[in-house]
Amino acid sequence: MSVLRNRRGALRVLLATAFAAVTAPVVTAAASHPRTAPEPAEGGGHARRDRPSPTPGAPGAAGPYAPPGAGAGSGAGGGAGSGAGGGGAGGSTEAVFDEIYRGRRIHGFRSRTRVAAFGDGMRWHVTVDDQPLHLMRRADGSYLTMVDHYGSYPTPREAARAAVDQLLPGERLSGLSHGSGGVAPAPAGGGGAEEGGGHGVHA
Amino acid sequence: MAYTRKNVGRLTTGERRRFVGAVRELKRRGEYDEFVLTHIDHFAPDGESGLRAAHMTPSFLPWHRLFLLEFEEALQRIDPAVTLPYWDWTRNRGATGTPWTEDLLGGNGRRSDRQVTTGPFSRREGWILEVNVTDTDYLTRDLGRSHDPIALPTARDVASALEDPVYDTAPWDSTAPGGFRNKIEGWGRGAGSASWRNHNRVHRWIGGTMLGAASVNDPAFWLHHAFVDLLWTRWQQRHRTARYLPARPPGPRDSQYGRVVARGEPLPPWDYTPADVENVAEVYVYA
Repeated sequence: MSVLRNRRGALRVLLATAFAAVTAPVVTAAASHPRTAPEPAEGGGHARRDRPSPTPGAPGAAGPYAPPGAGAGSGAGGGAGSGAGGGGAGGSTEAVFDEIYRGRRIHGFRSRTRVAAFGDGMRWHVTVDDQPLHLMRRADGSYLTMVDHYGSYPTPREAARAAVDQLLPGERLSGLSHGSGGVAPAPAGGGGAEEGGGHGVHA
Repeated sequence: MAYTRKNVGRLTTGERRRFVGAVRELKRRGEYDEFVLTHIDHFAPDGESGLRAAHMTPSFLPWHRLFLLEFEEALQRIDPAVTLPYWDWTRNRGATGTPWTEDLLGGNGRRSDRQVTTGPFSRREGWILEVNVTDTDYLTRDLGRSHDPIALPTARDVASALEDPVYDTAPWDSTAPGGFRNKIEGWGRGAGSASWRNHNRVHRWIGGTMLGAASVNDPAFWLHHAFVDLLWTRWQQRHRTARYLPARPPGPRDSQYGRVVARGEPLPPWDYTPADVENVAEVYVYA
């Protein structure tokens, strides 16, 4: 029954090659970490050629966001996550919340432009003390962050506060985000081997 | 011949030493951080676009099974006698004792900055985080969440997941109302404590590094996930005819089209399918 038994040797090889390929792109993201990022595994080895390569101008890299620090409009109450607004006012952002929470400045911007291929999380840019906090959306409409990954919160503001709750005095976000290598939209093909790398907001 | 993964509480002194030694050597070689990155790269939540291989998805269990096999093989290249131990958090429930001892995972983080200062994975012992969500380069833990205590999942919590005869159900994500997979992964409806069940809750109970995207930095990750993997084998033993679902990919009109891995589809970054790893009894067994 177990295919693994017969393929144990093959498995080892397959794992090693796929692994090297997956690791390499993320190292780019990790490089924003103030310390030295690890070298890509053995120079990438037999990289998976079908994996989308990083696209410099893709959403998430620069994204449809104005530089943080522009908006003034402060917090619109707790309902920061509501889907109000939107519309195609091309490329601009609005500040949805801006507050000091436990000594940290948390700032949430939302793009007025819908990026059709991406989830709602793509439309948000949240910072803590001007460092980007990668925000992701759950299917039920709630939000997770890189700092607090195993639970979710009703709004970006609450997710940002929960992230601040986890920070130690003086600790700063590193800007690390998911899948920063590939930013391809959902695979068009029949549900399978392609990896959905691009999601969420990052620096 | 199949090897055995043991309860961490039943390892001999020598087995503990060799497991810790192999993990530390993997870190010293720089290979450990690749595992941290791979896990980060495959965390695609269900409210975003793209294929979900590792979380909020049916392949949560086979993805982590392959991830553990890969890690275990890396350890065995260093020391062929080493296998992954599991931590049964329904029984070893304290913030001291197994597995939080000097000769295994080390203890809780200290009060001031949650830094783990004891055991083989303290910064002083050379366990420095190269990849993290913040600029902190040492392991942190807050066992039991000191500011607002929570308890580990109970045997009853696990039992209610094990009783479910169906592996997973549509919409195959964190909102799936039934199925063993989502109950054991631990996403409930809505936010807050409802989304902190079983697997998720253990990450939160440990806290610190284990709560974030770079959770693999804490070697507790492997012991935790070995137990989750064990629970999958228990579920299979209880429901002998039940299989991984979905058996076929969702169609083009399905909101989950292209988002989940069906039984016979390759599971990135590997070329293996969930069907390939449903039965691993001839590779390893739990004791």
